[in-house]
Amino acid sequence: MNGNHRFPNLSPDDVFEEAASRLETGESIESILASYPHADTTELADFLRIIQVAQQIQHEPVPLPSPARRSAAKQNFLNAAADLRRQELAAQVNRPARIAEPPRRRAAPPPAPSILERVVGGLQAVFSVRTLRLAPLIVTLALVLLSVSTFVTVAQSAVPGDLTYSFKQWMRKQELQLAPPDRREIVRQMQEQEMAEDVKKAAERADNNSAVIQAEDTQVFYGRMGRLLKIGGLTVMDRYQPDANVEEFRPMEIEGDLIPGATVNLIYQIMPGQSDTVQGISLSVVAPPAETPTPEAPVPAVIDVQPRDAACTVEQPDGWVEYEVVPGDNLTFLAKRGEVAVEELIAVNCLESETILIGARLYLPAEAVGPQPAITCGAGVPEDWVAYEVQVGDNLTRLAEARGTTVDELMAANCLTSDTIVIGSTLYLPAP
Amino acid sequence: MPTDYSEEELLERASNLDEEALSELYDRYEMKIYSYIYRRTSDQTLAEDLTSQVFLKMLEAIHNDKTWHSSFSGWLYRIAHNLVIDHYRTRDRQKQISIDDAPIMPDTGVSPVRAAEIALDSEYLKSAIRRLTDEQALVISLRFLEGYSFGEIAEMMDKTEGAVKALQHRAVATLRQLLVHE
Repeated sequence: MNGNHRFPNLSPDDVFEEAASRLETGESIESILASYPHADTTELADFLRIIQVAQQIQHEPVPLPSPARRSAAKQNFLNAAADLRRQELAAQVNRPARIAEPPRRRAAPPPAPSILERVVGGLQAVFSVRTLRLAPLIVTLALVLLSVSTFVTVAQSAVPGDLTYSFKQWMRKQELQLAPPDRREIVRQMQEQEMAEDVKKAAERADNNSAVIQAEDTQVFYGRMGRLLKIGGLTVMDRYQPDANVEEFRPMEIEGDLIPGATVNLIYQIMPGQSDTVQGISLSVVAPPAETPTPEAPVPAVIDVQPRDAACTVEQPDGWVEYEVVPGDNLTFLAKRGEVAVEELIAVNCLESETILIGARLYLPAEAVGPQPAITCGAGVPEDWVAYEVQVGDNLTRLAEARGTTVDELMAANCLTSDTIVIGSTLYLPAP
Repeated sequence: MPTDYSEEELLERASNLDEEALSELYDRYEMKIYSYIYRRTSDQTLAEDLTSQVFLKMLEAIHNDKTWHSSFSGWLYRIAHNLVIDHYRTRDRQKQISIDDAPIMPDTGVSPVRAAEIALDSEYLKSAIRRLTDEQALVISLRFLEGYSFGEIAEMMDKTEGAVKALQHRAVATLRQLLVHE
């Protein structure tokens, strides 16, 4: 390869390239070799023969790939790309916020509290709502503070859980007592509506990290249905969770003869986010029903034991069973399970709205209550299955085929809710 | 559905995992890569399988920010080459010898031309190309199996023309040694 050639300025690399190009144009090896009398023609001839065979390969027909496999391969490629996009998106969401980006989930800082709010806040830390009524000192202080109009404003916007809510309750009481007898009932109804609103606001304002809000109020007991009692503007469950994070209930303590129309003192708690109902901690009857029947108050969503609407009485239809509403239930879902219309459930149970409360007892078709299809997810990974890290190009169908199982089994064992799998995630598969 | 994007725009979008761009790049290069692998292996199913692997490797590289620096096509062919080599290495580990172990052509006194003639057969040549170094194999495959021009290969391999010229010369010399020996 170090042979001389007719162009002294051409390196052996150049000579080879030139010869190869000439071969490509169709010139014969002999003719090319003749042009390089000083080159190592034996070597160059070998090179050119090699190239000739390579060119034959180049011109051999290439069979087309099977259209089915080709299209499946492209789909697989696009699916893998989609998986990566999702993965990168998820990574972006989980990545700690960068310079200018404020943390997404952190709420805006609350506005700086006013002096009054700080005073109230300080008091709140010292006195609980229950101790308040026992502390004449606080009442005196309250009277002083009441002279400040700002305080009244704060109190008016208070919701259960705020110290100033006690003053709001007190003001309501005064308002009720001062109201002319013929207007008293209207005032009461108005106040009950406000009370329901207050509870709703408090529940909405609290997030899952907030403590459970406890409050106390004296109101009229209107009636009960199953677990739910209608007290003033509140719908009260007859049990409560001592620990909001544990689904464990204690019964509400009831003291006295609880008959509709009685005035009761209720201690209750508002669960964060649960605006429809409160949990009753204890209840004591402070006054029996007035001799003149208590004027009727609207009773939304809950039916009294003695329905005022005589036309609607709850009777257990044949084939229906009693059922206690659990978290996650709703009428549409229950009706679907029982293969009946929502309206039928409402009619049979004398409901006044579609809202049902956890713990309420309803009559439902037996099918709605019977055993539901077994949910295998969470049943655990079969013993002989092994962990596997999802690779680029994997999909459930392919993995299921490769490991002799089905997509459904893979989804169940891995608690997947869709057939999308993410590269790098761990799946359990039958051992190869 | 082909778009009017230039290759540069397509690559930019593909590196952000843009579906349309990826799809179009796939369409543009799929048959080229398939042909390349088929010519190196003479096995249709294997070529189909390795072609799809090339594109999945491309996604993996995008995901890991280890993509092409200069020429996308050169980079893609390199992936294809590596997959071909990996395939044979795994399949037939014992028979494979690296170029370092390749025997030097013995001075047997047999005319090299004759020896080469005896050994020269397309399958032998394919097998011999697999024993070249990666760069030699790539340059020989692109130049003589795929028919790319010298300048195109220089660009694809991000090398000067002189370097490619020297590379192909060395590659053919090595092939000659291998083929004559066999």
